[in-house]
Amino acid sequence: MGGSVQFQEQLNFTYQLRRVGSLGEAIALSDKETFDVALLDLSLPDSRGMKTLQDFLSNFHDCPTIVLTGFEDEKTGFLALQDGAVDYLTKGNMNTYILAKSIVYACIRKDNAALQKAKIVAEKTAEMKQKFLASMSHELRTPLNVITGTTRLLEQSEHTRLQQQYIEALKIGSQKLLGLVNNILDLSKIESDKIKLENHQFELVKGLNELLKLYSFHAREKKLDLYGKLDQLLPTMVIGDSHRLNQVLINLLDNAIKFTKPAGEVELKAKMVEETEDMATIRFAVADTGIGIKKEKLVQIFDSFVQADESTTRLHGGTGLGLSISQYLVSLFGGKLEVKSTEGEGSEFSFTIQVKKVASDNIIAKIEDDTVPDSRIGEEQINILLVEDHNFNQMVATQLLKNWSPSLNIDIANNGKEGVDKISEKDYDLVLMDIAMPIMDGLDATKHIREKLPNPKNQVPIIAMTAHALKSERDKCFKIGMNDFISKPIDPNLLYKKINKILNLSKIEMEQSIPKKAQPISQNEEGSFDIDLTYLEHLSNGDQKLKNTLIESIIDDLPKEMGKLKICHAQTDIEGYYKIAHKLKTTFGYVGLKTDRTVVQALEREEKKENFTFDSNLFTKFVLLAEAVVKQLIKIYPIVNK
Amino acid sequence: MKILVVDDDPVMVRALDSRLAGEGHVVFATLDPNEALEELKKEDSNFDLIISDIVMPYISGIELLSEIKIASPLTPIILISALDQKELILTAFELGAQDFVVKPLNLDELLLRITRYAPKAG
Repeated sequence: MGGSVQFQEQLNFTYQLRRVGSLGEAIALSDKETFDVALLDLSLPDSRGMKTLQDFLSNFHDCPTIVLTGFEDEKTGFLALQDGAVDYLTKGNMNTYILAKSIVYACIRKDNAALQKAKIVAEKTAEMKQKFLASMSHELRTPLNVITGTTRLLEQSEHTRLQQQYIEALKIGSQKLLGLVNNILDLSKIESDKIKLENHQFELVKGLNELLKLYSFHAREKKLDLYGKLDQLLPTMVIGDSHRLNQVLINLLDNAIKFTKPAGEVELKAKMVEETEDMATIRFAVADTGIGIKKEKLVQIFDSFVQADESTTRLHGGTGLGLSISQYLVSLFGGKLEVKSTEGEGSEFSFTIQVKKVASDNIIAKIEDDTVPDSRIGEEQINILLVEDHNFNQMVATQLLKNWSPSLNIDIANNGKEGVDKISEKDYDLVLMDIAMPIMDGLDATKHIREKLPNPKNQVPIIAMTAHALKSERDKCFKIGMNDFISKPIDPNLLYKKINKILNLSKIEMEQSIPKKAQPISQNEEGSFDIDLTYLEHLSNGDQKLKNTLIESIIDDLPKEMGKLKICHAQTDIEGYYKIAHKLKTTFGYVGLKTDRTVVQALEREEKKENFTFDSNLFTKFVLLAEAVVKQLIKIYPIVNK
Repeated sequence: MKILVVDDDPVMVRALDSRLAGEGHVVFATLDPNEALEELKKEDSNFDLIISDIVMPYISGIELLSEIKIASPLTPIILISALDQKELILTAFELGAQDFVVKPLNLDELLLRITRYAPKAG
């Protein structure tokens, strides 16, 4: 197994050995020296049996002790563990590897013991912080949803030019507020190291121009001039994380506009520094003619909650989080956020990063991909149930959906209970489910739908809509069987994409399952997979009934897990996919299928690649292998599968 | 002993349930980490030991561990992990796990380790 090779490398440690021949000599050392680990023979000239261990430990309280017992003497080992040894080794089956492994683990266990006590307090604090962030982000997002949603409706209704200006101001204000909430959440993610960059194709120049357009209103309002200086050589389409790149640039533009007085200038620049066949090195910069930063403050500005001058907070607002988050994000891109500034004259923030270019012949296909092909919306009557207790949110969501297409029929339920009742009475294509609701919340309602309603009503796709933006909340939704998740305030484009994806997906799923035409796996093709139940026999310890129960579990569970894997595959949910593949590796292990001979490892290897693509051939092979295992188990144990 | 077992693998859960009960322990075994947490949060919850897998879909053993430590900070936890998950094991220890056993699980070793967490008489 690849894992054990790696593990063996970790066992190559250096050590100092102190060897004494009796318990007396050992105890004499206890005042003078400390040891990371002790190997103790229970039969010494001056002491025998378990008393040796007890006396030793009463002198070496914190020293992890591995007991060496006689040939195959498991019973003594058992007693030694009870009396405080961390491990035992029988002389009969000891070798270098087992000894080294035991020592490494003993050391790990020792380090752990000291850590544990201090950790409880730290954990409580971290938990409180996490809860505070979650609830604060929730509290802020709910009213924000109302503001952004109503603004959008206002914009779509008839209004005067003056009113349009008010609407623009509302949009910018709420976007900013949303940005602050997201910053706070990001900071907590950075602290727990949870931010990862995504890799997707995006249109670089178009994105930069959109940013300039977005900020031109803002600049005009402050009577500033905003310029864009975009290099002609910039690649049209690149691969990277557009969302995070935008986040950095937005933050820099925000600051530049904030700290520049009327009649000043702000400039967004992007310059090609170096170009190879498939990579582009680009320098991004935001320069302003603003207040500038004092030399001595330049070092501090990237720290969280620090602003160059305390008075700037009062004058210009802000939390002082933006730059520290931006710096972190730029470092994830492999660059460094730098600043040049002269007090009273202005500042320039810049960073240079590498992005992958997309070959021009691939671009067209990708752009087409982004337009959500085969949209069902608009083609046929689609019934959507919106389960939401908040009047404003009901109005916003209904209007959004109606604006897309009159073919969408929206019913409303005011809480989870009403939602369940409505689904019982009528067939829906999709349910949009709020989470926090009175009488019955969205989680309970989903549970009820999935577990209590008859097929096919229990299969209705459900998208969670919640103001909780934390991953744990999202996981909870997926765990109880929701199909997707969108956080409030709702981004209409994202909701549209998600709805379309789910509607198309459920259609596809109904029409085609895994291609049955593919050749079944022959024993030669995937290596022999004669079922070997030795391990199950070990687990059941001679209890035939238990062994049958375990086999039954596999027959029962494997198809279910395959079902989940199919969903992850269809939804390109890499994390879910990997975890289920990992679990299935264990399941295959139960029936003696060595993992290196299965495709599971190939699946796991795929997942670890930088540009993970779901390899459909591999996946189909895997499905067929799982089916073959179940069939073989049923064949061997027909009685089990009554 | 009263033992809580949580693992998303039904085979392991059933095996542990049966073998631990056979050794005279009171076992609450579940495939669902959330159910495990609910059980721990109950007022009369008085588990002597928790045995938990470290890699599970939807919630990782590490996330679960953090939650367990809040719900029941003093209950010792033994983790089930794969041999090549040393980093994970170290993280788990930092979060307060007491011990671990490696896959493929040797149930006899686990049963032996469990005895060390038995509440001391008197």
